[in-house]
Amino acid sequence: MSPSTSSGSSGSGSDDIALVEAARRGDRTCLDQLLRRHYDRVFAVCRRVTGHESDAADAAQEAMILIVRGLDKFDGRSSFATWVYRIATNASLDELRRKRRRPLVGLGANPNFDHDLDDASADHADPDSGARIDGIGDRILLDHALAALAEDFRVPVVLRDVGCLDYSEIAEVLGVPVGTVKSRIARGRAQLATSLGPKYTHGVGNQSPPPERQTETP
Amino acid sequence: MTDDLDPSRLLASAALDDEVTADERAQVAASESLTAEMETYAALRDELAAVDVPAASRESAIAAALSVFDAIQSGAATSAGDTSAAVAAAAALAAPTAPQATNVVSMHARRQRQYRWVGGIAAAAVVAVLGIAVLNRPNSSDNKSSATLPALRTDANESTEKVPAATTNPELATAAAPIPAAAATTAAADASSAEGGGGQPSATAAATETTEAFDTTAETVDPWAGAQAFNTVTEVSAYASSPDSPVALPSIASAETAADSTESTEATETTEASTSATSTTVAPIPPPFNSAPSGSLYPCDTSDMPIAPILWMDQRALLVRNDARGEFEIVGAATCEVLVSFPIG
Repeated sequence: MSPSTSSGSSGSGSDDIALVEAARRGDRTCLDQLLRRHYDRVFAVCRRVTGHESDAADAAQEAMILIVRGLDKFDGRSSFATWVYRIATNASLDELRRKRRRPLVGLGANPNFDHDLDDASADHADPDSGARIDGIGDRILLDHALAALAEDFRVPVVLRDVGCLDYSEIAEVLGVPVGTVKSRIARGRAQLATSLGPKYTHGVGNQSPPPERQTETP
Repeated sequence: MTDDLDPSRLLASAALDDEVTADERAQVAASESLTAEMETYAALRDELAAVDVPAASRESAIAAALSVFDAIQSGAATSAGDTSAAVAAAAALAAPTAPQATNVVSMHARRQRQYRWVGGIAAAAVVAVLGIAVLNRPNSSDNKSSATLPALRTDANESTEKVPAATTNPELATAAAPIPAAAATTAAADASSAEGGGGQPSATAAATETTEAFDTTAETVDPWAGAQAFNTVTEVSAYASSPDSPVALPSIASAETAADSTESTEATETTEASTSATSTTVAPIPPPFNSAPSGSLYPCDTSDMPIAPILWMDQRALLVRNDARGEFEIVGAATCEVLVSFPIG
């Protein structure tokens, strides 16, 4: 295993464009460089969206292939990173749908989980669990908390916190207004923090979880 | 839509992302609770971003993408939506020059592998059944075709042995490698042609194109026409293990190779020394090939290798071989139930 995405950060946009142009001219080395530059973060996005490492590997490979196949179609109107993460996001969601399952194993058996994330689910979490476990345990907890998060909230949070896209880029990827992105990210974070327990609720613990269903800032 | 999200949360979240105005930033800085909340989200962000990336996945994915790139550059890429085919083709093309590409496995292809395998088996069985039906047709007017039976049996194993050699050649990897039964038929036809024309096709010989079934407009052949009837396991066991068994496949592995190779072949052409051209299409084989009942193990069990349609106790059935379980099975055609099983050998 190599270290996290922080070591595999994307290069600047201008570098990306230069590499894209070179790859379009048939420069295999530049394409290799371009793909390596983005792979780790693409994988991380896929990992957090799918919630499963092997699914993430599948989705990330699919994304890499789609990037190559679509290189000629990249028109430069958005940044290359935005374009790449849109592909990665779609590949991840496709992977999830193909497997017909939620990321990892859901915390509950609520059939309306996607659109009916109930704040009560957070209340069922052991309030001391986050404090008792660390390391791998924290990761598992995080995976579960992400899995419990509706796709509409999970994806923008992942694109922001893992993909490092700004709000306008996320809005472009998801095809929703910037205000919606802003509120979804805020909600997603709040729900994640609540699900993860005291470790992440010292800043938000004094507030009861907001009734956040089906209402968004346009 | 309206938003009943706590404005302070929205503010803290947006401040973390630097998506706030100067006034809003000052507001956050002035509030201990908002600052604490922002720090909480920052910690959460750090944890979310900490993802270990398996090096093997990275190399595999990049190798796959580069293989597609190579295929595109060499003009061998297939249609835009056929990613898995492109990867497979690219892997074959890139193998001599890019060693890492030999490890490339299309994820989609991997998922579909077992289903392709079942389809390949079904195709192989269809061809085998065609051979049996044609050769055993009681009122056949073409005695010369029947006369080729010994040649078919003799050359079947030889033809089967050619499959791995063909598939190990990268240039031939995407070409049609004949499945054993088809190869046997071709070998028989070759032998027949040699008999009648000194190695050259005779003037009256015509090509009989055997399509892969399912064209109901053409003449159909009942897969069970001429099927051997059995009433005891001993009889079936002897038949399954004898050279008379129509598909004497040496192993599941070679059958899978053949079945995979068959996928790129739209039709298998066989030539026969025949006085007239005929277009024979095998009828879709009834269950268990096409419509296994829900809950049935067959044909979902991909380790089953159909050998021949038979009549078991006057009932239409399929004799299948399962190397994984080391047994032959008699599967009822109507019910898909395993009626009888007995050990191989």
